[in-house]
Amino acid sequence: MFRHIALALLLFLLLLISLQWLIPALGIPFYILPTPSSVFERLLNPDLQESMLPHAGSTALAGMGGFLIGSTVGFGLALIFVHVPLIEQTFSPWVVALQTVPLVAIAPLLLLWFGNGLLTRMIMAALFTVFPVLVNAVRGLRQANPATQDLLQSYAISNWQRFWVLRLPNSLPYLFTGLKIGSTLAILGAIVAEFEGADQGLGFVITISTYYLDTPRTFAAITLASLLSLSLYLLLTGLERWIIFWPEPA
Amino acid sequence: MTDGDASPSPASLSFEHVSLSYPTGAGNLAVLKDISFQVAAGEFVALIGPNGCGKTSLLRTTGGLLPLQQGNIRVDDMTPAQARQHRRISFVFQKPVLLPWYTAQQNVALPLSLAGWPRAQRRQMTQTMLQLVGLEAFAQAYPHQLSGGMQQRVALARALSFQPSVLLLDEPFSALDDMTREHLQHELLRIWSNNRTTVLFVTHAVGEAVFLADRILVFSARPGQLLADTLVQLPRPRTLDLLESDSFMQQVAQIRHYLRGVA
Repeated sequence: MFRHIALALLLFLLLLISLQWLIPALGIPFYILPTPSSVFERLLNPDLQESMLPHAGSTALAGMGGFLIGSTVGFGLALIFVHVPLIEQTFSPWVVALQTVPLVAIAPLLLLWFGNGLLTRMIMAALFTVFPVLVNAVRGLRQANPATQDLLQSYAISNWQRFWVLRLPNSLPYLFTGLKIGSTLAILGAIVAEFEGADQGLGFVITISTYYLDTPRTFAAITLASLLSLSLYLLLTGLERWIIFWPEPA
Repeated sequence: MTDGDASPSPASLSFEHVSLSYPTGAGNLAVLKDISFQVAAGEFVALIGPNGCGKTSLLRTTGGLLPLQQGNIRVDDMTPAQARQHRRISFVFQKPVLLPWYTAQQNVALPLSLAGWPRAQRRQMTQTMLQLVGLEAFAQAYPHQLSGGMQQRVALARALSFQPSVLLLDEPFSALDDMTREHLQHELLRIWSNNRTTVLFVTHAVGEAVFLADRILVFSARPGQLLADTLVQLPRPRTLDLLESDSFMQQVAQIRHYLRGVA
């Protein structure tokens, strides 16, 4: 495990070093492909950080806020779907249909309706999160080993008890799969909204910096966006390992 | 063939003309045909027969997990569904079916908390049960930290924790290795001799049936019919030495003979 990580980091480092040497050697201009050092300068130089970090914070707020809202709504809908078949039968065609709508395409509409502030970006992030959480949570809440069902039935268990004793813990591995997919999509959603017209955020930085051919800044913004997604993902992975301590049944 | 009215303990289980079939693509598949017998309270009865003869289905119907289709089943003078609601019956399956997110203790306590036992009583009973199966030192262990045999002992403790009047065991030791199986058979007898719950024990191992049971019901191949109802003539308490005795061998041979008549 640690060996894999070390190897991956080593490869990354080699890539950076060779790019640092190769880009000037081939005479590639900085606005096409900046050297790694110029990107790092954007991230590490205190004078230049001012133009980066607040935007990263803004995207983090929009992305994680949207993620929390989206995953809560997704899990809540999953609970309703699983317990009220009529609602599920009525709404699941809608869910499937909505899933096929390219969410990127509705970003301009959201801006029109909710303005170019934090709210729009959070809504966008939430929309990206809802579906993977909903779909995976429904699957998790549904699945249960028939033998366990038999056992609990023989104890004359109530539906409410069955939910706490079996369904909820059983659904957790599936729920975390949905959350992990949702977490990276949430950051993506926030950035997409920022592309479409915002005055803050990494998406905004990317749009502006490419406009001015300040490509090192673009790369720095991309790096920060990746780090955001990655840390949210790792946070969830850690949480998953902590909560689900038992081995998954075969 | 059965104890009849003269028995001091009332019939704990009674089966009258029970038949069962499963719908399949090509019509109904008959699984059990006209089964009738009675089990006295505190009796240990083994059901033996070839695979697919419907013994498991009979057990599940008795426990209220499958609907009764034809005939009549009474459990403590209740229908299986009522008996299930009153928590009179308890299952042990082929696999331990422990909940992996609960400790051994929490697994044993599960039926008690579902039935609304107060915490103090629950704790005391759980402790007694874990002691009974020799796992008090593993109360805080999770199922994945226990061996297969230990897991099945937890399942047994859980099954007995709420003091059911009928214990339904469906090949509970068939997934274990020989040594663990023999050990658990012996343990089961020791535990059973303490509380004398009525037991229906489904198995396809002849030796196991003879070693454990007071009485053996032999089923035919599908559709399952009762071929024989024999009393096991072995004294209790039974120990593992018995497995080498002549009378044990003779009774095994007798049951084998019935079963061979099947094929």
